[in-house]
Amino acid sequence: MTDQSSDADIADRLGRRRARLIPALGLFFIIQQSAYWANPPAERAVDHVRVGAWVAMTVVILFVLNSGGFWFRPARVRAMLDDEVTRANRASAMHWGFVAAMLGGVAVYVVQGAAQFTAREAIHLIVSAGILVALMRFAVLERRAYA
Amino acid sequence: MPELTNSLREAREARGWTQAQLAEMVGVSRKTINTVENGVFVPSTVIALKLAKALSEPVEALFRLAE
Repeated sequence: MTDQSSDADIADRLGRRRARLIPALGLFFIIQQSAYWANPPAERAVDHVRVGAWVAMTVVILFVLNSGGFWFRPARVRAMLDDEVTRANRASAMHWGFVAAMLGGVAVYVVQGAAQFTAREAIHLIVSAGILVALMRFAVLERRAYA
Repeated sequence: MPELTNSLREAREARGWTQAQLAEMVGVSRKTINTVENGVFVPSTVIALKLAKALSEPVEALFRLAE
């Protein structure tokens, strides 16, 4: 019983921390985007690092969104962190992210005549729109759940 | 307007239990109890039945369709 209570307390604390950290992660992602578009990457070594950083950040956010994070915590704690409410919030966030990515794709397709995007830039825009909207939606729902 | 109303908070408080205590009995997170009580989240049938069992109430006494 003591262990169970302890796990519940840990899950509660970690869940609150996650709800606080996700908006910060989203803000960092936005700042990274503004740096990317203010000075689009060329073929210098430093540009490859920037593209690699965006890829790494995107993959990490996707894994956090998909699994809830805290991968090195005990299974019981992770199960409590991934409860019914979290799964419902994630489903809603993924739904919003999918719609945002599709709308991003449509927007890129429509404005392609006026603004020339490379394939990399188009993919960057579409993926970033989906990731960012899903992340923000998840953050809003999680913070509301802990209010 | 919520489709489902519940008297979970009243039933829990009548027993003098905290959200954390009820969560522990049912085996869910405190967040689940909080969101159900606030009407933010509609629980699955399994969780509703577990809550009813923990509170020794019929499930229809805890959850009702909104008028």
